[in-house]
Amino acid sequence: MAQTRIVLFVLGLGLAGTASAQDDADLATGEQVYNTWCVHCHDDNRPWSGGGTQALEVKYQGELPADLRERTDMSADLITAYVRDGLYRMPPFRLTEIGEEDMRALAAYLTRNNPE
Amino acid sequence: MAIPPGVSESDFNQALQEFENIVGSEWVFTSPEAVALYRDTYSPFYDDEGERLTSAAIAPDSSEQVQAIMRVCNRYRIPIYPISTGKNLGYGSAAPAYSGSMVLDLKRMDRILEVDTRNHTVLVEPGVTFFQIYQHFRDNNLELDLDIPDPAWGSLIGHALDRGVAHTYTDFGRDRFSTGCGMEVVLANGDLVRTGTGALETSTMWQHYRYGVGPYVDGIFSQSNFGVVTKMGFWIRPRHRGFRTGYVHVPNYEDLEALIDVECELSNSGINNGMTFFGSDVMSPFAQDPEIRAQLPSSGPLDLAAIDRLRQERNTGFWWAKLDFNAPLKVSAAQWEHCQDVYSAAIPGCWFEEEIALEFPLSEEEKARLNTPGNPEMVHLGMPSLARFRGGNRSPRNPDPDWGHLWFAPLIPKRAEDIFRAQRVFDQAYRERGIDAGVTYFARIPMFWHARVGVFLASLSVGRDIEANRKSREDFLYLVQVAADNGWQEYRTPSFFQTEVMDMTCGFNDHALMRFYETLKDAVDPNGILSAGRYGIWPEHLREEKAPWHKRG
Ligand SMILES: Cc1cc2nc3c(=O)[nH]c(=O)nc-3n(C[C@H](O)[C@H](O)[C@H](O)COP(=O)(O)OP(=O)(O)OC[C@H]3O[C@@H](n4cnc5c(N)ncnc54)[C@H](O)[C@@H]3O)c2cc1C
Ligand code: HEC
Repeated sequence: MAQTRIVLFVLGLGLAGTASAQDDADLATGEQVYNTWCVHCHDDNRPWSGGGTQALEVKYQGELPADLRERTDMSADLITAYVRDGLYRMPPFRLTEIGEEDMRALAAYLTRNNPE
Repeated sequence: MAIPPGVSESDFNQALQEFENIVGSEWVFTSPEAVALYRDTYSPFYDDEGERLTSAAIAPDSSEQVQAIMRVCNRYRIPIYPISTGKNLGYGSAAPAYSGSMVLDLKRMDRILEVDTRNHTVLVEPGVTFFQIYQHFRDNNLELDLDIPDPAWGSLIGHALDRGVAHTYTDFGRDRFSTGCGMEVVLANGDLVRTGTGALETSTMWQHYRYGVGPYVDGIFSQSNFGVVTKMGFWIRPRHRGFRTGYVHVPNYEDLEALIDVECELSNSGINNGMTFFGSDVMSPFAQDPEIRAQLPSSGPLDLAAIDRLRQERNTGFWWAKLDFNAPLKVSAAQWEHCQDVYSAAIPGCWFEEEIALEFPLSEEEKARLNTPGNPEMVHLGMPSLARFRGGNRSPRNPDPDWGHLWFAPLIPKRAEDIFRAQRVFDQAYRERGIDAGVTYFARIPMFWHARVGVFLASLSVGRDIEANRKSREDFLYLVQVAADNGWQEYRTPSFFQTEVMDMTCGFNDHALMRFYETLKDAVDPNGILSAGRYGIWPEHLREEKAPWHKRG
């Protein structure tokens, strides 16, 4: 996010302020969705975690970060597919739980550090 | 687009139009992608013949909308299956008992309608989760708590209606349904009723007195299909003040009898008021000592003499009881002391060990230690999490996880002789079926969520190998029959096996109880639209097709 803002600033775009406020709002919503639906399993691996982070630690053996919030390799589509299909004991999330807009915000949040 | 069984395409299209008029098109789901979200990914029928599928879903926002939906369903004979939060994983999740039904998804109705902070009650809608209500109490500085089941993303109402269980204070939601007080129900025929004192239009105590005047009917809306519960009241508790845990160890195998009988005396008199766990020092399924493990037969009878030698060498007990006290520490100090006195008098050679004494609010350090060895789990303190999922997910000990499980959940009386018998019976049944129990059954003691019975809970694995899933299905039905032959009934069972389980376990007087349920069903749901097949109760037009009890005819 910080990076995006700097680029926009340098280019001096008139709309930079609005676009960035919109992005910020999306990321804030995305983080909120994450904290409602995901963090209980995908956290920093505390003893009471539901074990998503531990599972990814074992799956990737350090090749990728185990905490989803640190990943930079997943596309929004891939994240959406996992959330809607489920994987192993992670069940699918329904539209009454995470609506389409919330899903977009969640994906934006989890891809915020992806390389361009 | 899938069409529910028994409904013509043109009728269904007409109905969908009417549904959209009721809830808005955004909340009627018919696309394959949206509908697939209601699949039960834990089902042993997954991708196999017999999987219970959903044809469409609808998500209302009010009781009035639910009534309108019921009227449309009755008009076009559309089978529909209500869920609150649909997280009934291991018992059928959100998928309907009658394949092809629509799902009535009540998640959007998630209002906490009333909270009585002075006499400790709440009134909630179906979508309210344990995470949500816990946060609501904290955000608003309400000095309230409630008992929380392992997965806190479930709902108070769904949990209650499937008669789910939790982990703390005896009477405050450990047996959730028993704390219910007052319901609003949309009957299958679309009528709206309020039970208990809610029947009085000017009622001032709907959540404070359960029975009202006249017959008490709330029970028939649990594990059944007579109505859609749109509001429900619960008794909750004032904020937890303290928590204490003490262990009682007893030296001999036979001491289990007195260990349990004394615990019954203490808990049934309210002195020990938390949920007690029992286990074995020498044979705990979690015992990591390789020498002890070597003595635990994966099959065949137990070599008690050998195990007792190891016990003596290690100077441990044979069994333990972990007593939990939910009370301010000053009070629980006296409770714990009294328990020790009673045990000392009853069991020669027993000894005690206090594990932990906590006062609320917990310090950050105390919080950080929760769910680690020697410390309570969050659920034991009424704190929400999803921690129980950890065990089934991929981990160093479980590098190749399965996708789910079905719960085998037979009740066993809270008596040592029954428990010893259950250990033998299920050990043998597991061996006959070649089920890997992981550890011997001889150390297993039921979970005492309820006061006078235990649940001998076991999960059967579900993956993506169809043959292996079929075996889990057969194993499950075999185990239910073995339990029934021994006088043990399921406390709750997966939606896809409810017909078989009711048939196997409710046969008294030629299934008289099922006949009574069917009489009720026909009266309140003459078109048979609501949750057909839930807990084996089928509407008249499907009874022959869905057969057992026992095979009809
Ligand atoms: C790892 C793990 C641990 C678990 N631990 C526990 C535990 O400690 N205790 C426990 O009890 N369970 C446990 N479960 C089982 C289950 O996940 C929970 O009981 C869960 O709370 C039930 O889901 P729910 O609240 O979303 O209910 P729902 O799925 O919404 O409801 C269950 C059923 O009740 C009926 N129903 C629901 N709402 C209504 C309504 N408003 N009107 C009419 N009928 C309705 C429907 O038939 C529905 O299928 C566990 C499961 C897993 C996977
Ligand atoms: C009940 C616990 C649980 C919850 C809640 C949960 N997950 Fe998961 N998730 C898991 C587990 C376990 C895995 C790993 C499965 C495996 O072993 O391959 C996983 C895997 C994933 C993956 C795949 C990562 C990879 O590279 O394989 C993604 C993406 C994911 N989860 C996203 C989410 C999001 C987003 C949410 C919230 C909407 C969420 N999860 C909620 C348990 C959970």
